Amino acid sequence: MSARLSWEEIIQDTLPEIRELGRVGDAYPSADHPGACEAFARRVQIAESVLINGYGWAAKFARRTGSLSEVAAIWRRMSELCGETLRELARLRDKYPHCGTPELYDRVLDYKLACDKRHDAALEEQECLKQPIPEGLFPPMN
Amino acid sequence: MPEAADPGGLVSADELRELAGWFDEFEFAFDPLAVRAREAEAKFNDRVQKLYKLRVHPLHPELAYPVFLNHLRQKCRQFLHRNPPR
Repeated sequence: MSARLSWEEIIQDTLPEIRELGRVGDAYPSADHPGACEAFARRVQIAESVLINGYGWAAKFARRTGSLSEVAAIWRRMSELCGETLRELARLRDKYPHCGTPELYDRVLDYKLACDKRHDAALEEQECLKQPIPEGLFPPMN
Repeated sequence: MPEAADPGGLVSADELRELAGWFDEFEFAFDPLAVRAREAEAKFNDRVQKLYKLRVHPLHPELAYPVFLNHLRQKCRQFLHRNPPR
């Protein structure tokens, strides 16, 4: 077994943590229920840490690959993960308005925008590279 | 902005190295919201715009800015592949 993690493995390991956020949020009738806010806030913290970690891995994989299609695919997948988290948070933020939910929502939205920006930039770069440029603009790559 | 001192292109090897460093700091930042990443992106964009305006556009007015920018981004990626972080 290889010790190297793939990008898809990281995504697949992150998804259950995001879904657990929704499961714990649904498990209590309200945030006033004993232990509810503490349990949900704990899942909020975990979701935040796995997403930040996931973003860091996306950046690392995007740096490593030489293919702009792969770069775009990495950021699209990370954006989808942020989108799934936002859907869970949007569904639960009225129920848990004081358990770190709005703060995480805003942060994940910022991360999603960062992913979308890198995804769109990679596709634009790919398109622009189809257009020739004059010789002598850049130094030779040795 | 310093003049191109080394041979190789309108964008010098030293400038490409500096641009690639900034590109690395924002495009592959572990925290895209960090001040350092935002500052690097601002420096990168400012330098690329100046290079285009002062050196590239006067000689090659047919070359659109987005095309120049994206070819330069590609050069930065290639530079970083050849010079991975330690």
